[in-house]
Amino acid sequence: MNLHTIPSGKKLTGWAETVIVLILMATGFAVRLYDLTDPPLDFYSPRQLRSAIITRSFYYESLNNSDPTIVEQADKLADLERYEPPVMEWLVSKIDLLIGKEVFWTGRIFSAFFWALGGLFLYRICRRFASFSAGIFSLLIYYFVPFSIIASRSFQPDPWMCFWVLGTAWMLCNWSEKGSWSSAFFSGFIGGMALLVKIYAGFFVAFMLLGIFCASVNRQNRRQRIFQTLLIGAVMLIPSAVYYLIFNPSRSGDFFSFWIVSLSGLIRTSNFYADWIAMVKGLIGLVLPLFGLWGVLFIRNRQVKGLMIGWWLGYIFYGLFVPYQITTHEYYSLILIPLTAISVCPVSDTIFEKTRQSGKIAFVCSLFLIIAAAGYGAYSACGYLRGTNYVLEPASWRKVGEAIPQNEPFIALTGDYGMRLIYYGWRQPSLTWPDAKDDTLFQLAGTPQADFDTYFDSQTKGMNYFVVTALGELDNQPDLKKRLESFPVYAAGNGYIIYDLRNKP
Amino acid sequence: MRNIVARKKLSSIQIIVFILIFLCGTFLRFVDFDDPPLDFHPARQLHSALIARSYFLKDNGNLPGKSADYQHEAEMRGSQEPRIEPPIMERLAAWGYKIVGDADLRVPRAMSIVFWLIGGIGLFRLCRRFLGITGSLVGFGFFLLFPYTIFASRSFQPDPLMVALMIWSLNALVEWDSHPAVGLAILTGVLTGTAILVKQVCVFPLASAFAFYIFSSSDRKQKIKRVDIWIIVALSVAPVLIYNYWGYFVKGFLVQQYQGRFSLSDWFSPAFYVRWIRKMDEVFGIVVVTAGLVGCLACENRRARLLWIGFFAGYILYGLALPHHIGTHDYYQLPLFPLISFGIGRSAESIFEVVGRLKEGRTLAYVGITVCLILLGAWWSADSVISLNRRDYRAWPERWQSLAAELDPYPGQINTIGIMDDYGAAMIYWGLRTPVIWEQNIEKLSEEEADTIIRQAMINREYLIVTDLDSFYAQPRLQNWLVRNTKLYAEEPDYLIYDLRGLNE
Repeated sequence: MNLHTIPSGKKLTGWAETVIVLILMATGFAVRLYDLTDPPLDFYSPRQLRSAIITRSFYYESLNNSDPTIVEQADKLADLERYEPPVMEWLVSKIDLLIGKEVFWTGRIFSAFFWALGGLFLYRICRRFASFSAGIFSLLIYYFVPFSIIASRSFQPDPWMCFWVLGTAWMLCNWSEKGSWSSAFFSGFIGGMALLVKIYAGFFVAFMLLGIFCASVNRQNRRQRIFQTLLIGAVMLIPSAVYYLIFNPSRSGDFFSFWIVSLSGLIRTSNFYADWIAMVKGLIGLVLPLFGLWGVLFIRNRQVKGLMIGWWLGYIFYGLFVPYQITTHEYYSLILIPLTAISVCPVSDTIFEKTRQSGKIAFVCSLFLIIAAAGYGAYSACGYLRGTNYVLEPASWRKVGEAIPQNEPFIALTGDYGMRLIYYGWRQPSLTWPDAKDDTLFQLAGTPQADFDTYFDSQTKGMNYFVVTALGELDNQPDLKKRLESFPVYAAGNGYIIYDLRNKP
Repeated sequence: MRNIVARKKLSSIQIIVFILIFLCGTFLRFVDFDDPPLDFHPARQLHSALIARSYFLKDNGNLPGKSADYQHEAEMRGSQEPRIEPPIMERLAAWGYKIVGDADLRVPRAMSIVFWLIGGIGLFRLCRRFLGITGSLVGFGFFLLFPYTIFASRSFQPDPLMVALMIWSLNALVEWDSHPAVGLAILTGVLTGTAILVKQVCVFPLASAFAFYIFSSSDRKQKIKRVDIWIIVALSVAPVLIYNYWGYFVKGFLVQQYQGRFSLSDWFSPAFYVRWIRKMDEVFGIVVVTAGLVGCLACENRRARLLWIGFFAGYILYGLALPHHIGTHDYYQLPLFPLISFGIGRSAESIFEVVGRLKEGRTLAYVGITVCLILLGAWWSADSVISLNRRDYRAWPERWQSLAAELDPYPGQINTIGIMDDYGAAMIYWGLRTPVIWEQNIEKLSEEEADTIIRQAMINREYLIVTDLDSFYAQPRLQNWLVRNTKLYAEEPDYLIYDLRGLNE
């Protein structure tokens, strides 16, 4: 079937439609560049700074005539736990090289660009079973829901992963129609990229593949479909299997045992489900996902329906697999944006059809209302970005970095797992002291902290300084505060105290 | 086009669903029933409570366990409250007090709940005229179960009664329009006139909805010639005109109330519209507003569509007429609930219609949609119950009486200053003492200017009472000043009291 023909018999309306989609893509991209140079502390700063730190080390490594001390230091500071292969960070460092300086906001542009591009796949999927207006409606959701704007410009793999997942969904639709080996291979390849960018994409692409396979297999094509599905699965798995099982096996094992196995008990508590729903409600409200779930039930295109059911199941299993993160980390639900945007398409299509029957004025008014709502979404997100200003943070962290004695081991009670200190202060704590959230996490994981004195002694053994930048957190830990107050203060400044541990009482 | 008189009878299952929604809506409103009305716009609720109590006392009522002085003071305080709307709710509450033998605030709360429930039945009836049974049930469910309505419909203020009367007035209009008769015209006029008298602002949506509906009739010329329509107009406007003439020209108490309520310059300020939309977003969520409005536009019945378009146009006029209130008081969005409920019902019905046309998977889709709706209703219910139980204000009546006696023992003198989100209403209602309210913002002033302003405000007062802790903690300069210059007199989880007597020595 030709891509320009959709099963319901509707045809693309030509250049006007293309222009409108391009305008929306450009606007969606532009709105994400708002407040571009404000430090990346507006959304999950540890995750963004982590990527910025890794990018910086790639940048200095590749930079001609750079100071070897800086290269070495940047490389040392980037020696962080590897969650995913740093493909995105490497690419962004190349952009930095192109523009001739190391700036975090190229990562922001990178994420925003791929998110905007992902809209094209989303729209093409919607147009397989819905009208132009409904497709545009889905694009408006995808681009202008406030959470989408704020999270999809974040310098972390998730927006890019969503792009690849959308690409996989689109390619799988092609494959289900054409049934060719080449489309099967490309589906696998794009899905493999999604997995490589972030391994959790496996839940979405695997279930999509399963869904679309079930929806498209029949007596005539059974043999071919089975083999093609196996090919897609294999091509998807190979790159990440090589990376995780061969190049990074111990890290993968540790991650699996702590984040997955030890926290899996959460799914047996009712609080987990309530927290998950509350998280979704906080991000995009409950009405859109509800309309999305309804919409999936009456997608007219059987293959797309199978794909979307698979995608939803994938999201549910993914949430059950990472119960702690799905209820605490907003970006773990970023995938809900494209998923919901496509899923609501049949519902919006139905309502548009009704407004069209009500007359042109009603139809135009409803379009106007929806565009106005999208505009309000963009305005709210920009208002949030404008309201959060971190321009003074880099300088203050530089000062903290300078105040800590060079080449001395130190432990730190600091926000964002020390990432601000590492990125802006060019100093890495030898250890970080857990905050209240970490304590909760350890308790949930069944590994509560030992008694305070034992724990303090074990953590500060071999450390010469204790750096505190999270002063509020210190107030929340009276035992620690009391103990630290018995040490002399080596230095103190605006927002930080450094205790000298060398002369232990 | 659906004939508005040809209504199908409800099946047994539909009757059961209707009863379940009604019972659930009733039950939710009676949760935490005896908690004092400090959970939702306490200043507005206690304003009505003061007036109602004074009526009750004037009418030879007695407050059990309270001294004659207390009762006399309570009566005086109520008499001094400014009047805006005719005190209909307050009168009704005073009669209720008479029956139960005390100024029990559960009485007006129960009245508001009953009015809202009656409004809900009226809305279902109105929906049934233009929508199918499914859409009507969804609209009815939204009106009774949406969390904001749970709080707003328990509030002691004229709005729940006004909304109920608006809905029944629209019902009467539609009834009169399909069977014109003098009796129905009188009923329509009385209901409309009462609604407008209860709270004048509803004149905008009602008048506009009436005009759109009547002028959209094919026999409008005949209708206008009938005496009925003039009966409706006369009965609708006469009560409010008489009240305004009496209040403005004869008694004069409305003169001050009407000053400063309207500002033309707001119309030209984008911030005004942003505030307005933000308030709608806060109450409904922008997705729900859009779905509701588009749902109204998708209504097959042209006259119903025009009725709601007229209603919405009137709502816009209402916002333009009260530019300050529409952007600052969330309960000013309450008149929009009938429209949004209808629109949501229509949107849901469109979806059910499409499901009904499905060739395969119809049963699954029906089950899926119904399960999602039940889950949404359950979530809303749980959310409301948790929110209602989260705060307990039961200690406040006793607390205010003892605090007022301790801190402000001298009648006729203002001894306290307060940082209170209810503008001191609770202290006035239970403690019968009026605090001065701290409303200055000194955070950005110079040290000297701030000191002067604080001293001017605190001078001649003996205590500062803080019950709005969020606002207080957002004022670090004031906190520091208090720490330096005053003593902390009392510190409880719900309030702080500073001793200012040292300032006056």
